[in-house]
Amino acid sequence: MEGLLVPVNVERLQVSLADAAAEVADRVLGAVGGAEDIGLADYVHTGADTTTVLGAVRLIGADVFAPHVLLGRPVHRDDAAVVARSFTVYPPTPQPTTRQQHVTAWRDWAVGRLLARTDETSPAGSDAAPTPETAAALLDGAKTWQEWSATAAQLSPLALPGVGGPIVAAVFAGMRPLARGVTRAVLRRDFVTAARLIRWMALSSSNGVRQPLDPVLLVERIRLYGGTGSRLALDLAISRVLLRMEPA
Amino acid sequence: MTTSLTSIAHNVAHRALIYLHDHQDTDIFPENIPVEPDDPDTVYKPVSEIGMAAALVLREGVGGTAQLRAARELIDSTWRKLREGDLLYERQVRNCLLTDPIEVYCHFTYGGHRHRALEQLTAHNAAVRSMPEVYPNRRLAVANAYRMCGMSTDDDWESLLRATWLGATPPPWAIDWDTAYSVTHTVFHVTDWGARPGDLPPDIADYLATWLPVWTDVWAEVGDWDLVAELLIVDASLPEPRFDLDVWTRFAAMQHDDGLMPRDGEPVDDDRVRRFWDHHHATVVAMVAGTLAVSRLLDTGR
Amino acid sequence: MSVQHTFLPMVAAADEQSAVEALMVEPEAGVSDAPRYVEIPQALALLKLKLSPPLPEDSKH
Repeated sequence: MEGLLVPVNVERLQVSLADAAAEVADRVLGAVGGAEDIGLADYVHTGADTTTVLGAVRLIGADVFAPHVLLGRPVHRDDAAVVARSFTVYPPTPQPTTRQQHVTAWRDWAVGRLLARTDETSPAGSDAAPTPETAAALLDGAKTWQEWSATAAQLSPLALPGVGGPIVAAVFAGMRPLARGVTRAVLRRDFVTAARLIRWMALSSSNGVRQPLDPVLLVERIRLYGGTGSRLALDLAISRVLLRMEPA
Repeated sequence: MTTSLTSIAHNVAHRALIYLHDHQDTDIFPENIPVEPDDPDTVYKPVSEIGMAAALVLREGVGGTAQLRAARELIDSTWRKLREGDLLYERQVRNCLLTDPIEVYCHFTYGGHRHRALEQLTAHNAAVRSMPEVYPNRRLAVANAYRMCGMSTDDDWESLLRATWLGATPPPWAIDWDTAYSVTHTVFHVTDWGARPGDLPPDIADYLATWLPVWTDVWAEVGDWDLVAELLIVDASLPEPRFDLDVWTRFAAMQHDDGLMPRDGEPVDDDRVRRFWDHHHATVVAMVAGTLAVSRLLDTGR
Repeated sequence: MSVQHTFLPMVAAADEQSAVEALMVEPEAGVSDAPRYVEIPQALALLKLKLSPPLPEDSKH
């Protein structure tokens, strides 16, 4: 029967995942900007492909807790259950070795850490803390500021209050490569990367870390000069809250 | 690392010099450059820039005997194209507010070329103090030209610098292509083409040290080698140059076998005359960048 | 109703798992069509290549 199977189109899979991630981001964005719940469990029930939706939840990661950690909104237990379930369906890599696996492991760790604030039991693996050495290797070990900022952008879901840990500390110690990375991304009109890095600027700024650039101007720049997409909008909205800016 | 960077920068400068030296014939340049050309960019400006680059090689004196001889021949031949300064003099007589004659002339004084009548005109103009309205970075060019010629002016360098884009240290992501050139020229004139790195105020030097690597990275990515070369001059003019080996290696790799430095990533024409007119500017800038980098590397003992 | 019971999949297929992992670390993770450079419809385009700047008389030397 194998010969009859349609070859898997990984690109198509990624597009479906990206679309679902945009939908999840929209729901989180709505919760950050308004009063409603995220409604993750509702989304799962809408008939969308469940596996894809759970993959999208994995992609959005710790950001699903943004309304909780930024605004103190309660996490609906069904939503927490969806997050926990996403780790069962997409289990973390047990022994991360590559740089990319370490990045993913830290993103997973942040989800587990925030999930632990709910009643939901963290699924195995999501809350196992990667060693601090891997955080140092990812950021302190970056050969160039370009490499440093690309990694910081990948780790942007950790740029939330309440996550903490060695990654956040390492980013806070790198305001110059961060500012260079943001500048580079804006000049290249890579607004997606810019918005992710601006989150780190916003978080560090809200923690009183001095930095070379004004994140408020950058948030407005990206919004006004063509930054589009649900996830980018969520990144900007999170930065606005952190920077105590008026909602856009 | 230092040795290899010095050698890379030296080769870039040397090959660019040879290229320009070998392109001074009448196939390239017309016999007579008009005093008031319809478009001064076409011949007058390139001749002046080549003379300036040759003057900087002589000023720094870091090349070997052959290189210095080529630079000497190059500045002499460009001086002849300017009719030993008569062309500059006539431009100034006909247009008393023009500033380009003194800006061009000041470099030739390094090569020992003087034009007394032009000097009298420009000294008089400096005394009259009727300065045409120009971009702030261009105003610095005039101030530096008088300084190079040893003519005293009452220019307030600090306020001239603060009137430029760079002097206001705006967010580095709010720059465009034209303004990047303004930044480079502001630095060229304040530091007198790398001779006075200490004249950059500490906040400006720090601003440049922080953001120059980003601008260089972005414009190198799109292959704007002309602007990258200018940014490399800025780096060599800082109190503490970065001398990025990776950027220099990528830049040097773009240089053609005959020494031509392409202005961008587009294909280079095969025709000898066309090649020259398309890419002489980037080649001139490369020659200056390489020369100043070698000089600073030797100076700082890095 | 328990959320648990509404899920059909136990574990994602290998290709789904690797698609998620790839998107997780992509610089543009999850944004499948993010342009690296957004074209802006005017000559102001920052990275647009131009020739060398004009003569001193007009703007700069």
